[in-house]
Parts: sequence; C-alpha cells; structure tokens
Amino acid sequence: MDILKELQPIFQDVFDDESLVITNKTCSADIEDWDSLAQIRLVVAIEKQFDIKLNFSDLQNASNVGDMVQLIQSKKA
Amino acid sequence: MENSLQLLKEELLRIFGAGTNERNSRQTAVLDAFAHVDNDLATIMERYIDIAQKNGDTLPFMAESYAFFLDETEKESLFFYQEGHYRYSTLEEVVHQVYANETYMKKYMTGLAISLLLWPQHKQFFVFFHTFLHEHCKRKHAYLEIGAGHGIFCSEAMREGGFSRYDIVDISETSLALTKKMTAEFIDTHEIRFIHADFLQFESEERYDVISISEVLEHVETPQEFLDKSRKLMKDDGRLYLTTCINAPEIDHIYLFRTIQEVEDLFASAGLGIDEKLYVPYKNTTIARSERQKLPINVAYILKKI
Repeated sequence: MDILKELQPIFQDVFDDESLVITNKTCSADIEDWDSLAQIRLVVAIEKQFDIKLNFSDLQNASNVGDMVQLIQSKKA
Repeated sequence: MENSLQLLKEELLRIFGAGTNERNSRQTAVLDAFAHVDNDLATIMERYIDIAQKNGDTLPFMAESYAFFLDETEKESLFFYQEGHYRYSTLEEVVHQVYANETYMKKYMTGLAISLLLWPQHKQFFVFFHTFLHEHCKRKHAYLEIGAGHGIFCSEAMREGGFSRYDIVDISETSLALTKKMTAEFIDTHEIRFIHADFLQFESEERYDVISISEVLEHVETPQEFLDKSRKLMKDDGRLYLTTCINAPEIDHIYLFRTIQEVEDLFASAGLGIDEKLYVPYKNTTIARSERQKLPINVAYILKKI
C-alpha cells in the first residue's frame, strides 16, 4: 500500500488544490490554510480512506505527513 | 492598545504555549487578531473585560474560557464531519447539556465574548450591527433582543441606539445574569425588562422598531416559527437584525443550515425581505467553496416586512 500516494487526493481535496503535491516532509507550515479545521477534515478523510479510527490528538502529534504515514501504517498493522 | 487588552493577549498566548519553539495555529490567530484591532471594538472589549473583572472574573479565567470554547468547537466539528450532522437536534437536549448548566454556560458565554475580538466573522458582524444602530435607530421607541448571550450587543444597543424601551429575552438564566451585569450602568436611565423565557412562549403587546436575533436561529428546532413570530412583533416599518451560520457546529447548534439559500427561503416564507446583508465565507475561501466543502459560513441581515 502506497500510503503517501493515497494521501495525495485527500490533501488536494481538503485544500481544494488539484496541483498540491505533498511529500513525507510536508507540514502545516508549508500550507497556508492548514488550520485546526483542516486538521479535523484530514482526520475524517483519512479514517474513511483507510478504514481506521483516529483520535484527534493522534494527528496533532504528527509533525509532518511522514509521521501521518507511519501512524496510518501502525493502525493498519 | 490599552492595558486590559494587552494583559488578555498575554494570558491567551500563555495558555496557547507561547515561548515554546514552535508557534501553533492558536498563537498565530491571537497575534493576527491583536495586530488588527478596530478602535471601537477595542473600547467595547475593554469595557467587557472591566465589567467582567468587577464581577469577579479574572483574565486567566477569560483566557481559559476562550480555550475551552475552541476545544468544544473542535470536538463538535470532528463529530460534524464524521457524521454529517450536528450532535444534538432538540432543545431539550441542549437545555440539559448547556443552558441549565451554569458552570458550562459561564465558560461558554465568556469564551464566546472573547471570540468577538478574535474571530474575523464576529468582528465583521459587530461592525455591521454598530453601523445599523448608528444609521437606522435614532429616535426609535422599542428594542427587543432575543438570546442576549454575553450581553455585549444589547449593551451597545443601549449605549448607541437611543431607544425608549428595551426588552431582553433569553432562555438561559445564566445568560440573563451575564447580560444584567453587562448592562448595569443603564438600569437607572433606561427602561429595560429582562425576561427569562423561551421566545416562542413570550407574549408582548409591544410592537418593536428593532428586533435583534443574533446567532439564535441555529439554536432552535423551528426557525420558521421563530421568524413568523418575530415578524408579528415588528412594527410595519421595523427592522430585524439577524445573524446565523451554515455548517457551523457548536454544542448547542441544533438546526443545520447547509446553504445560504435555505436561510433566505425561510425569510421569504415568513414575509421578510432583505434590506442589507453580509456574507462571510470561511477564511480564504469563497461562498461556493465553503458550501461545497461544508465549511462554516456566517451571514448577517437587516430584514423588513414585505
């Protein structure tokens, strides 16, 4: 499973930007509209996409997309 | 900036982790808001802080209440995006959880009052309301406010509006108590009635020049009934100041408006026309995108009988 690849359309949808490209190093400082509401919408979209349950704090503790990928991997294991 | 606002800013930054290596979005929002404080709003918020402190509230309590308000908003937002609807849908549920819970209401209303200073849409609405009072309300007789909440808006109506009579109706005793404190300076000079009631049960022979329903429609089960009754209580040349929100989860929001059109259809059905309006989409978005992505939209209107 290429989690980063599956996260791309989620980020593009949440931030309404089809040209957005994320990497493992992408963090909230890199995307202007990445606020707490965007974080919530990412949580919900990720839960649905990967069929996992996240606590809001799980993602708050993730400092970049790479941490999110590892978190998703751990939930799917 | 006056001292009380500066001290409040420092308390907010302290709570949101100022001094750590990484600045978070809450700190940024506080710094941005305080960098662009309108003079009139600053005066009003200093007055609010002064009154609150005289009534025993501390600046740390105010800052903690605002943090609480943000936490509750995030919790309800998570629920909303997971489930597609607000958590509660009946008045009974929120009376029990919120309005009859004095401790919760005190923190909630205090946090909401602080958001007037920090949330762009609340600031814009305050300016809209102030302008309306200045331009339309001199030498008018009767003012009715439903859902006074923290009391800031009706205190400004008393200060600026020049009405002969003020009726303030709220379903929450805690809100009425807060409002009485906010308006204490006007008790001896203005004719004011504070009425603890569900507006739908409120009876009055009075017909009002101005009715204010600010952030109320989303808190009621039957907004159409609410508007129908409001229209009956308006003078023929009266005005209704109304604000509400779309896709905006809070713990006591029970009626979900999904589009602006849904709101404006209710006005038409109630025989109310739009004199003025202000739409505030979610920051850095458009109305179209906010509706499509179910992001919060705030709307304000001056309505008249048609």
